[in-house]
Amino acid sequence: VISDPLIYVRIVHFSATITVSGIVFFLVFITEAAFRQAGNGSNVAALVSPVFAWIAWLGLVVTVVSGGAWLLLVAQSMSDSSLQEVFSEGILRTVLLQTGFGRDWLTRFVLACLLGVTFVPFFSTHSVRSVWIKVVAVTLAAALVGTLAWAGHAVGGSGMEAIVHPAADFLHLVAAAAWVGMLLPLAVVLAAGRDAASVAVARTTTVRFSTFGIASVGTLLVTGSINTWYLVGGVTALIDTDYGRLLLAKIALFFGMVAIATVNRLRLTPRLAQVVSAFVTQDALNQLRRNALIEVVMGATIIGIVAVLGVTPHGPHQIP
Amino acid sequence: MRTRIFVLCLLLLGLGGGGAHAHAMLSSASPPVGGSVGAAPRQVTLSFTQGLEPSFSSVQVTDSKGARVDLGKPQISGSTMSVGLKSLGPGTYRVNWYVLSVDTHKTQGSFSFHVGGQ
Repeated sequence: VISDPLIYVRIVHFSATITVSGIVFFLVFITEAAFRQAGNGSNVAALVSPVFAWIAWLGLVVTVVSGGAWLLLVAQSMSDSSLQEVFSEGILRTVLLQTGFGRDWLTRFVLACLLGVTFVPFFSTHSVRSVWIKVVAVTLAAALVGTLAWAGHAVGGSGMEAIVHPAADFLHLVAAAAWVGMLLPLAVVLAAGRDAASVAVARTTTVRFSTFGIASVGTLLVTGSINTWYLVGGVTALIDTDYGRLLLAKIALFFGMVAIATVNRLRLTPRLAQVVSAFVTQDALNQLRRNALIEVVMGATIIGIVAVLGVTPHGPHQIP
Repeated sequence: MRTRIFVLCLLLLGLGGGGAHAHAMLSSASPPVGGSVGAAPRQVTLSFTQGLEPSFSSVQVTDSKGARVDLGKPQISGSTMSVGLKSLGPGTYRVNWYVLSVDTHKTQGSFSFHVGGQ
């Protein structure tokens, strides 16, 4: 399984998509209020905005390129053809127009292009973001990451499962982007400055991120439970199968991230509000930044596990 | 907090009782897998645990000498695939199926059925 190039393409694509969507969520729901509260006394916005724009644009390009690579690998696999045959024998067209995966990929390509168009005013340094631009950007970002649900195990069920499973997976992916995807921009804000105004921005940002994170964790728990219900054939399968053991590792990492987030929320963030000493504040900032980066690594590991889960069988494939 | 995490773990683990069927697997067949039918069937119908991609799914039916006895392109609707058959005489026939499920995973399999009683 490890030699399957699709795993690595999936890792890159999941990471890039979650980063792009996460940064849009972060800007709209977290930092705008923090920058507004800090007023003109802080130069944090001016410092971090170009970094955010750079991450978003690079993430979007990587999303599209890795999405194209994913499409070609799946088309090859579907048709048992070479890359040359995929292009020359109309296989790519058949996959794009006549399979559920292909139609999902066409939709996601359009969503990525529209998000790119939205990024022009969204990351413009010369204008204040209008409500409409923010609504459109958040909607497109959520749709871009959420529609990954139709490229995996969530589709194919019947009855209620055909509706509930993809819907749960959609929300799971959006919630993942709203947590893991926000960690990198959070670390950027926490590293932005040491003056009082920067600390105020860091405090507001951390509190808002933490509150948003609780909603994300709750959504991940509920939707993760639904996904587990549909994809795992009982507690025994969690222990006895590769798929189950990988899922357990993912759940363990998830709770590790929750534990770190709890420390951030209950121990470190309150220190930013206490005017004890500059040292205490700076120490809390350093620890928050370090924890955010640790969570980024743990989140990336979870994405790696998800990439493997997508190509790992659940049971016997040849019946009878 | 520890108690809450423990309860949530139990929730996640305890809910793992759904169906493990993320790939298209054969759930039923007519004529039945390994079965015998008295009269020659007009078609073979296969039902799978997942929806199929018609463009990349196929089935072939061959007689004991390996000659095709199906009428070619199968009819696929949702998770069911059927293919018409030529007029079959008594004997054993083999069904080879190859399907792509809507979650892009391939599965394949084969089975025999007998025409003309035991």
